[in-house]
This record gives sequence, structure tokens and C-alpha cells, in this order.
Amino acid sequence: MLPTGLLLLMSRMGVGFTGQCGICHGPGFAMPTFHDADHLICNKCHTMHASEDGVLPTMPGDSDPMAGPNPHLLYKAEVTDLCLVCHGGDLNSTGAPIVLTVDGTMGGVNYPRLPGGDFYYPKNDSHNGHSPGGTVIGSDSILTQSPGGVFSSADEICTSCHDPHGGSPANDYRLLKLKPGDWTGADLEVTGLEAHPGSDEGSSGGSQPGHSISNTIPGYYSGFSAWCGACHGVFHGSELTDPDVGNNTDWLRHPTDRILDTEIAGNYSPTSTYDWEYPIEDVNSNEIVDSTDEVFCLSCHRAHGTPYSNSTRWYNDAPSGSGTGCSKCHAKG
Amino acid sequence: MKGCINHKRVWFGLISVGLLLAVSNTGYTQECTDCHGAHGGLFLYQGTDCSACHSAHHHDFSGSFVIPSFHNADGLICNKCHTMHASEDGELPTMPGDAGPMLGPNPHLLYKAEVTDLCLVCHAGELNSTGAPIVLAPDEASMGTTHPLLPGGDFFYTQGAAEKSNGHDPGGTIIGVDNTFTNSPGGTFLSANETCISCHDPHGGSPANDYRLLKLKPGDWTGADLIVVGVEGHPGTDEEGNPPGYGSGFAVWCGACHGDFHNPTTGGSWLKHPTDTALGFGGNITVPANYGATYQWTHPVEWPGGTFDNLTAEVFCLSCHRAHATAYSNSTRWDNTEPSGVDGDGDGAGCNKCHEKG
Repeated sequence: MLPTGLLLLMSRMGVGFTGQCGICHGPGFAMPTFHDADHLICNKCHTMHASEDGVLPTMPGDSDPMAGPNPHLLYKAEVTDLCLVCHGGDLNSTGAPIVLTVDGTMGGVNYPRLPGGDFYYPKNDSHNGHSPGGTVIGSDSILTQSPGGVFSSADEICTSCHDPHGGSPANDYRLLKLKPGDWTGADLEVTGLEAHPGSDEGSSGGSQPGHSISNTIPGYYSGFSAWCGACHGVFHGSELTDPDVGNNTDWLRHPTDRILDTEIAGNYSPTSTYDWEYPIEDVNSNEIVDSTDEVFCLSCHRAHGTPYSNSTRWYNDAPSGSGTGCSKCHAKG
Repeated sequence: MKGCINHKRVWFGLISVGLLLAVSNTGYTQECTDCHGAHGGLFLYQGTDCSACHSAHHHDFSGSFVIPSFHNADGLICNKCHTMHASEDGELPTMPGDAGPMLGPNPHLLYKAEVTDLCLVCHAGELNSTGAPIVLAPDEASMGTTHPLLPGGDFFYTQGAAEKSNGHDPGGTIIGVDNTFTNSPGGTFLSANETCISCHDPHGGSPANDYRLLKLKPGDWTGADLIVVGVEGHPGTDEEGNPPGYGSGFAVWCGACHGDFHNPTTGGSWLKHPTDTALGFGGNITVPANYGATYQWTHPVEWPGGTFDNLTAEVFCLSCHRAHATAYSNSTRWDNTEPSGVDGDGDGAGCNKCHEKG
């Protein structure tokens, strides 16, 4: 293993990385390189004439030739199907972060949990997460629009939330769009600390140079609640000013983007230690959990899908035992 | 235990239990067949599926049956009463056990706007219809011989426009608030604030007594925790035939809201009926003799010593009242506008159980 200093010198000299690191890292540790605005290779996803060597071409990474010319010059007729050529499969099989496994494997030593969850579950039951359409996952079979919002389920695809081209229309963090869904308001910026693909929200190659992320350090800093609220806004607001959320004194819906009070923070962790299974927004980036941090959507949900209805992080039809599920913060009984 | 029973496992369990009993030093003497059939089979007590209320069954008898499992701290399933976003499949959700969807988001993320209404989704109806103890039956017949008496009484008698003076009125749209009292008789707790959770804690655990989840600080009580000690009767049964349920602390507990009724005296004479007082207080032998040598469930007394003794057993609130409501004014156990007389066994009835006047 090369010393960190040598690695940094090499990066400044423009020396690229080979091996697994180079899949994502480029010179200067640009991340992610594949969808980075400065490093886009257009023909990985687009074909100009749908013709190669006199026949329909095969998308790099795919197993069969495309079926015919498609909108936006894509190799696939459905955007989500195209994304899944690289982002679906066994973990570490394609070099890209996997969001749809072949069998719902979410945990275990060999398959660290996918931070956003696994589309395997809403693929089989729309209750269990987002359904970004296409022929592999399919559209939502239950909802016609986003819960707490008006974004049409039929329009939901991977690029409703993520920008595959990077750059100014997207946040750096997981290429989340500045204007997700049908949002037309001001840009929705998020800031977070990226965990390595194929790992859960904290676990990383902690011994690798430059990999200082550990699963006791919060990865979400700010802006995530408002970002989700672009499509699920009815669930968001102040109990004092938003009648859908509160009646001026009591919450009518679970608070989000709201600081933990001292009791809740104490229930979460008497030692102020972050628990990656129950994320919070580390608003002041002090890497501990205290009453300045905020509960947000991903405290209880995963973005893509889970084995549980409503894409929750735990099975909500079972008791929340001591320190788990709802009892992580609420410690009832 | 829940779900199907594997008979082979039951036999293995019974054999194992026998061995454990032989080597255990717990001193537990209950027989397996007290609960199980002679050839194994479902865990049934008097035809009732115990798993509706009881959780873990410890075959080594190292622990007691956890009661009740639904509102037990470790058994809480939040979404049975709470909904995070008042949205399911794009619509307002329906509370488990309820007939129709909720009307809109509610305080504390409850399925109902009124706490008592929420409790009654499970705790009202025909006996044994919901799996929960019933406190509001659909008709008076539920108090008769085919439907064992509800230990706490029946909110049927104070429901809606019924006689509000016949018991507590924990609000909501089904029972309603008290239209007679603005605060608790003998106290200051506001009637408008009275709900099921004025007395009971639905979350169990340290803020509540184990006994029927009675709060340690009921009503607006701010003093020291009010601990009660009792033996639980089985749901759907009355106090008859069960070990007497009331050990200690109940009179003081009621006194959190009704404290003025507790034992004021002058010149050695009672100004109000004694409570939390031994039947043999002050050397009285008449009252104990009138009550008799055996416990009568129709006239409960507290057993502070754990065994019945008619001298040391204590009259308390529930000796004459039921906690929820009865057919009679002031939630008394008998019609206090009629002569007390004697009961069917020739014992004193009503007041005459202890006083045998006339």
C-alpha cells in the first residue's frame, strides 16, 4: 500500500489510478469519474446512429445488442433500464454502485448494505420503495403520484432524482438533481459526506489512504429533507405554521428537518455516538449526535427500497424493542 | 406462544419441563396440565388463547407471564395506534381494527382526534370480539350471566347521553365528557381533561404500574409515584373465582383525584366513609364478623398482607364502587336507592355486607 503522501503527489502529477480505486477515482481524486461533468464518455450511454459494424450496437456492459433506435439516442428505450445495465447485479460486478441486487441481498459480511436501499424490494412490491419504471423494476402499481405531493408516478425514473451528467444541474452528493421531480423552485442543495459504493452509510476501507469515513461519522449534513420535500412536501413543515403538519401546539405528522431535543438526543445515544442505521443530519458537522442535529426523512426511510412497507429501515409491524426502531429516539415504556 | 403448535415439540417440551422441575430450585408448583391439555396441544386457559395477551412462555418457569403483551413496553408496536404521515397508499390510512379510514392527521400522530375514541377501537364491543379487555359493551346484557361482569365496570352506563353520574366520563365522541361535574368529586382534576390516559398508560414500562397499566401519577398528580400491587384477573372474567386482585395502594391511587374523601375524622368519629382502613380498625369486631371469614369478590377488600384476614383486610374505594361505571349512580356496585337486604347466599348485600343494619 502506497503512503498517503506519495499518493497525493501522484495525483497532483496527474498520475491516474489503476485497479479498483481507479474505477471511481481519477486524478485529483475526482469522484465519481464516470458521471463527472469533466469526464463524461458519451458513447457509454448514447449511440449516435444506432449502428455499429452494420448492425445494432451493444451497450458497453450489456449482454445483447440494443433493440432499435431510442429517444435521446440512448441504448435503451427506458432510461431506468439503461441505468441498471451498470447499476444492477451482484455487488462489485460492474464497477458501479449497485442499487438493484439479483436476490435482495442487503446485508452480511460479503454484501455490505446499499446506502440507498435495494430496488429488489419495490420491484416485487410497490409498497416497499420507489418504482422508477422501465421493464426491469416497473412503475408504481399502487400510487398514481408521490405521497404527500403531486409528482406523477408514471414519470418516475432514475433521472427524476439523479443527474447522469453531473456538473451544475446536480449536487455532488450522489448526483442528486438541484431540481428533482417536477420541482420548479429554487435549487435544492444538499451537502453530505460520501461513503464508498458497495458499503453501508459508514463502513469504508478505513485503512485505505484518504478513506477517513467510518460508520460512526454522520454522512448527511444538510438539505436532504427539503430535497425530499420537492415531491413529498405535504409531510414537511413547521407545526406552528403548516396546518398539514401541526396544529400550532402538537405535531400531526412526524417532524422532519427538526432538531432533536435533549431527551431525544439522549435516547438516541447517551454517549452522543452516531448510529449509521439511524441517520441524522449532522447540521454543524461536529461528527457527534447532539441536540443541534436533526431528524430527517432518511432517519426512518431509505431512498430506494427496503424489505419493509413504505421503505422504512425496520419492520414497523413488530415491536420496537429497546433502542431499536421507533424506540431509538422515543424510548416508550 | 403464538401460531401453530408442533405436537412433537410439545411432548419434548413437557418431558423437558418435567426434568427441569426435578432439578429446578424455583419452588414453582404449578402443574403443566393447569394450562396444557393432557396430551399437549394448544395453550388454552378456559378456552381462551392466552397469546392474545401473554407474551413469552417460560418453560423453565424462570419468569412470569408478561402481561399484557400489547401495551407492554417491550411489546409495543407503534403503528397500531400512531401513523407517521397520515398517508398510506396515497390515502388516509385505517387504524388496525377500525372500520374505516381516519379523518385526517391528529395530534400525537394518533389515528383518532380523541384519545378515548382510539382506545375504544379495541376496548369496546362484544366481549372477546377484539382480543382486548372490553370496557364498553354494546348493551346491558353484557353485564349479565352469559357475559361475565367486566371488572372495572361498563362505560355503557355513562356513554353518550346516559346518566353521567354513573361513573367516569373519559371524553371523546363515544362516551363524552361529564355533564355534571366540572372537576373530580373530592378533588380538583378537571372533567374536561379526563381521558383513558388520565388513569392508564398505554405504553407500559416505568411510568406505569404493571396492574392494568395504572399510571404512577394519575390525573394531575404531581406527588410521589402511586404504586399499586394487585393480581390480574383474566380478561372477560369477573373477579369471581380468581385470586383477589387488590393488594395495596389502590385507595391512595384513587385519592390522587378524590383525596377529600379519604378519612377525615373529628372527635373520633368518621366524617366520611373510611377508606384504606382495616375492617378491624380500632378494635372493631362487628364489621369483620359481618363480612365473614372468606373473601367475597362482590365486595372487594385490599389484602395488604397477601392473605385474607377479615381483621386486617381493608375497605377501599372499590369495595363499594367500580372504577369505570355501573348501572347505579356514583358508580356503586349495588343500587344504593334500594334496601340493602341480603344476597342470594344469605349474606348481607350492599351496605349490609359489612354493616348488617336492621
